[in-house]
Amino acid sequence: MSSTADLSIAPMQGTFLSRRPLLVFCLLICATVLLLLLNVAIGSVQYSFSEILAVLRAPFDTSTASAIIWNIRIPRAIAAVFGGAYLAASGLLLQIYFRNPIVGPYILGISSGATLMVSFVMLTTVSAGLTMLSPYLNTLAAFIGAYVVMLIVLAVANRVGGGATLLIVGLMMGYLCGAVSAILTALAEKEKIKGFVLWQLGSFSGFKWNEITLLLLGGGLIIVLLYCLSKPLNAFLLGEEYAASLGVNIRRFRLLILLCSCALAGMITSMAGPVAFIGMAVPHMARLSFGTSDNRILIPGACLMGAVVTSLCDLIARSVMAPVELPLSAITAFFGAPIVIFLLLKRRVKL
Amino acid sequence: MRGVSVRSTAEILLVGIVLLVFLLSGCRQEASQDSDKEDRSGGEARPAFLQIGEFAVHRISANRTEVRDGAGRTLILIPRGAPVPDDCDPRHVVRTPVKRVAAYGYFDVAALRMLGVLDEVLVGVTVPEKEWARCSADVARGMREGRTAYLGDASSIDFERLKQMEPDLVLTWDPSSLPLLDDLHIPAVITSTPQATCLSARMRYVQFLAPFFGREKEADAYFARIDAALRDIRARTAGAGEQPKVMWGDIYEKRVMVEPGNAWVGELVGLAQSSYQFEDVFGTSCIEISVERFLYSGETADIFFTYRSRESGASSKEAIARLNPLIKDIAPLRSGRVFAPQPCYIQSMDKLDEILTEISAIIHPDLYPGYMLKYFDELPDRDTAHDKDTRS
Repeated sequence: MSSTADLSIAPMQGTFLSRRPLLVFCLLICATVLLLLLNVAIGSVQYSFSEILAVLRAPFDTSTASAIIWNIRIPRAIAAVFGGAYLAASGLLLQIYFRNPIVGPYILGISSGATLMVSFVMLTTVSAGLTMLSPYLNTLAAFIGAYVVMLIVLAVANRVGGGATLLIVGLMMGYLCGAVSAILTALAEKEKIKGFVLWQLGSFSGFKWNEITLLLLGGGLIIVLLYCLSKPLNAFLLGEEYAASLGVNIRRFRLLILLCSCALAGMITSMAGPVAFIGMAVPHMARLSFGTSDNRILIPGACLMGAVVTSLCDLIARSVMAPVELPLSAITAFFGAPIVIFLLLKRRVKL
Repeated sequence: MRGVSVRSTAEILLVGIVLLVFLLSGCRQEASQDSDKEDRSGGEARPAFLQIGEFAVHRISANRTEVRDGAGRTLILIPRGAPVPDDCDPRHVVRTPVKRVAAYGYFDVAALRMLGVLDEVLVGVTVPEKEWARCSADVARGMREGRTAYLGDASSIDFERLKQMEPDLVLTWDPSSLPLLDDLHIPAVITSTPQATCLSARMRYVQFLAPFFGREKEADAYFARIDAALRDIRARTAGAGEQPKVMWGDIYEKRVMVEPGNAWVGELVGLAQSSYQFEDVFGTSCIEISVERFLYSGETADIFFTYRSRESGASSKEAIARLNPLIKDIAPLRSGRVFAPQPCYIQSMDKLDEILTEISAIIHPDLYPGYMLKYFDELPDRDTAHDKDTRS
């Protein structure tokens, strides 16, 4: 694995918020709010501005309009913001951890673990008697799958020192989980496969308020923790020896990075399914936009950029052919893949 | 004050393209037999060119018929014993009547039954015997007696077993299997299409397969039977006072899918003096739509047909609502009627006339007094003790 960290110290030790980052922050905040509002206002059922306002003023109304705005659109819009932010932060952390610009949050098998457990629930009869868990069965299964894989990866990380070994272990976990899922798919009844394929495409559809609360509290805490770790992260980016010389406990710090990254990615994957490219492409977009590798700027910056890109992709996915929904991962790939290719060709992929 | 959203330019373009394809592909029944001449070589009038949705049959001469399958490939049917013309690609020549067939899907097997050739020609299927035993005793018997082999799942065919059964023809929905089938020198027909199967194509599909077996009369008789059933439905429901609103789809934990309006069920619902709630949705087969649209359309719907069988969780309205609480308030789940397919439904497309009549009887129960359901179950409001016991 090649180290591409040729970070200049100047941006980190200079003025924390110079003019450009400040401007980009303002733009991203405005874009996030704008897209949040658009995602609430636009849908396959059309409501006028005054109708939406009336519905927003009466949250406990029992009308269909109220159910659509309050229980479908708003949770989905918020979920897209959180989902994009957390996946971007997760990808950023792993890119720093592995000092590899083209890793994403799913490189360690998180999504494969989630997919494996969901395939158990959806493609077999093991969940037949678990109707009391409905409608959270898939979410719970994905949650368990993602976090079991995360624990295995953390256990391995605790034993091995090299990032390359961990990366290979993560890939192997992905292959193993993928193999079992593939066997279950091959043996499953056709009518069950449709639902499973749908889940694998990823979507912010159907988010519930209690899931939003979990995202806000659980994910919010991790993001705050990450921001507090941004200085050690900057030091880590310059090399483990350098970070150690500044008093960072490298072993614990590496585990903490992995824990935070996997927890964020696992949270989103369990609730929305695998969402491709956000975690890989958005950190690069953030680096380019802010013109810095300072994690004090990049962590909130990548979160905002992720929120903007994901909200936009979700808006496109559900609007272009409304009421038909396009797969979210297809739209995010349309954004992400060209960006990654462009950056690779321009040789501007640096950490 | 509310309505379905104004379409974007892209959507209007897409709808336009789909409509154009429809017009060109002859989904309209009156356009499906636009023969410019008739072939009388067999002693009876038969259209020389027959367009059936994406499929086509072109009778060039007594010894040569060209058919276009769902993938747009042209196959040449040459009677056994007749010489193969020089201009024919041997890979695309099928000797008729076909005597040994492997079929991937339920619908293809049902088509063979419609033509009266199933017992004689079926040598391979992709569904195990226990599944057939439920409703297709003829296929199950053929498998027990060793005439018909289980070839493995349709997505992972055992090609060695397939070759061993020496089929003259494979009926498959999977275009990716074509290169290997070509290598094995087994002619294949793609039976699925990029477009949803409209009602006319659904009815006439058997006429596309008939030339392979020399069973045109049987196909015509089948078509006449379905046509008569449709005429009866139209006549019975013409004076129906109210137009019930129907939705057809499936509900998952966070997502919903519906049958598009251009599919045969959407057309049938319109034909039976009722309104299909997703008439504006276009697609190949069941397709994901937004939950909000499902909820909005469900607000005024009377009847909901779910794809989901009882075994897959559609045991009651309560059970379906539990799958996705966001849609628990759609009218069919609260106060309307919900129907789930019985196991025989998917295996009984040779009885399309009965299925169409049953759907009409469900929509207008007052016009079909005493009708007993054979292919669908009406779901109770709540799970019975038996359902709960079965699950636990």
